[in-house]
Amino acid sequence: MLAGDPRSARNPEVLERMRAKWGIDKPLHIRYVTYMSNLLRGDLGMSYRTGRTVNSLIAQSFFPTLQIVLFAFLLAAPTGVFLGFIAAVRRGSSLDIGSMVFSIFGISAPRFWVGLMLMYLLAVNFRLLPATGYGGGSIRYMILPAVTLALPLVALLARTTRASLLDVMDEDYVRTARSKGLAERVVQTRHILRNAVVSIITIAGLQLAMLMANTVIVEKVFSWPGMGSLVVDSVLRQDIPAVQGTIFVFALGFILINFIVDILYVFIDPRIKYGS
Amino acid sequence: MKVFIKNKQLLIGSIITGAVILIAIFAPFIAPHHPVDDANLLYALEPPGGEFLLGTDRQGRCQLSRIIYGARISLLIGFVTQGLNTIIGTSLGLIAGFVGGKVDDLIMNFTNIMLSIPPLILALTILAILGPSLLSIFIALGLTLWTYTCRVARAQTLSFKEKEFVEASRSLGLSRIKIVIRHILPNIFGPLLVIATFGVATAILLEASLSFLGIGTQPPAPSWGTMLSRGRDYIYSAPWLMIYPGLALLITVLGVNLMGDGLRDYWDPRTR
Repeated sequence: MLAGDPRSARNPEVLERMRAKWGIDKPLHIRYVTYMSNLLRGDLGMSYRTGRTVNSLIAQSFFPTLQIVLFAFLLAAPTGVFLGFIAAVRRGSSLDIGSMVFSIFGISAPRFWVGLMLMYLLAVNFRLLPATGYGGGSIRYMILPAVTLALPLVALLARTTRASLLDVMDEDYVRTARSKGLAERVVQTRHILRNAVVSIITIAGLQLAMLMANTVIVEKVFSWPGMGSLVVDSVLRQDIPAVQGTIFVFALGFILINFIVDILYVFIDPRIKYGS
Repeated sequence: MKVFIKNKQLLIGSIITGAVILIAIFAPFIAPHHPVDDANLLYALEPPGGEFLLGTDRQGRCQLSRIIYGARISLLIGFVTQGLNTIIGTSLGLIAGFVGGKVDDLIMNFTNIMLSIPPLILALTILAILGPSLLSIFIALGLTLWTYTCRVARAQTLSFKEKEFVEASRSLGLSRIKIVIRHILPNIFGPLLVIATFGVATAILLEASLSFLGIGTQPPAPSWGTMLSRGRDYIYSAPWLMIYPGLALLITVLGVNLMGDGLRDYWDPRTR
């Protein structure tokens, strides 16, 4: 539940002093200019809740988030593409149906619930892994949050890979490749997969960005001390500077990933060129 | 009817979604207990079975009844917010696509900026400012999920804008608004419905996520997300409190997503 209005102090004198201290006694446009000019110098301001700089809060929580996001991505990307590839190649087989049923479940299951169920099975029932916490960043603590993050991504990538492979499969150049006597394996990897890779990369890039957003909830489930936990705790305590700063960094990450994906296109697909 | 027989996903999805809608509508008749008022500490944390089919929570409330009533909240939020999103996204997309030029640039730049902030985080921020209530959730989710609809509506409008029948109606002297509503909108209805269906699923999941974090639907309202966040505290002693609300959520979202898949195949058989 949210705490009250951050301005609701009883004593007007204290209220004034606090407002002056945090610089919220000035009119909106001046605060905006101050915030933006500080932002340009890389200063995200002070957090109301902790009294520390937002920069230090983010610096502290950035790495844990990066850890599970990358770990989850490394788990999910090969698995998802592989599942989708098999499903497309063996279209209509029980493998195809099985992996598509898995993927619709993976997309529909609420992430935090999947996390809770994994926690219940592996940490509470079988005591194989620690349930919550950071554990100094050891891999045992990373597994559950990373797998929780990875599952929906596997599902989505499997679906996308399958759909884009099926799109490509009926193209003329695939038929040509077959008719000139290439081995089926070569046709599948060199001609079909290679051409489907652009749309797979697009989705993978977008999803890598979405992973960052999903950490918000997964980190809370596993009490992981990352930026997701930071933003939720800040929202709950109405710590506006911390919320602004964290969201700024999230958006920055999102833009950076999209930019990298755009550049990757050029290397993967020689047909794509930027500029004249 | 033939569509349903050929299209299994649409069939299964519609059955599940229909069932959840019926459960939500007739909740007072189906639920064995009242979801909020029937608290009785004598029956606190009863395991599933006996009088309480799915067990009871810390206040001794029947979990089955709470889950049944929870369907109302999930569906209400899913449909209302997605309705809002569809209206906003479709209007902006139609305007951007049909008017073009500077208006198009303005709308699409704004849309792309919105797209660069993940919906959950945007909704979180809006709720942080507005404070948690049902209305804030409608606003937070109703204003965040329209971007995709807008992009598709724009792309579809662009592809129909130069078609002969639009040209013809323009030469007949129809006003631009009439052309858009009578001739373009009906043609792009299919893809938009598909997106709207997936959007309902997304909105339901987002509401549950926000409630799980404690800033969505507020207790004592029986929201599945809130129930799950309470259930997390009892993972050792009363695991049924986190298993069943999640299962309800999974089945509902699965039904809606299957329906979306089925509709997409219906409108675009190429993707099969």
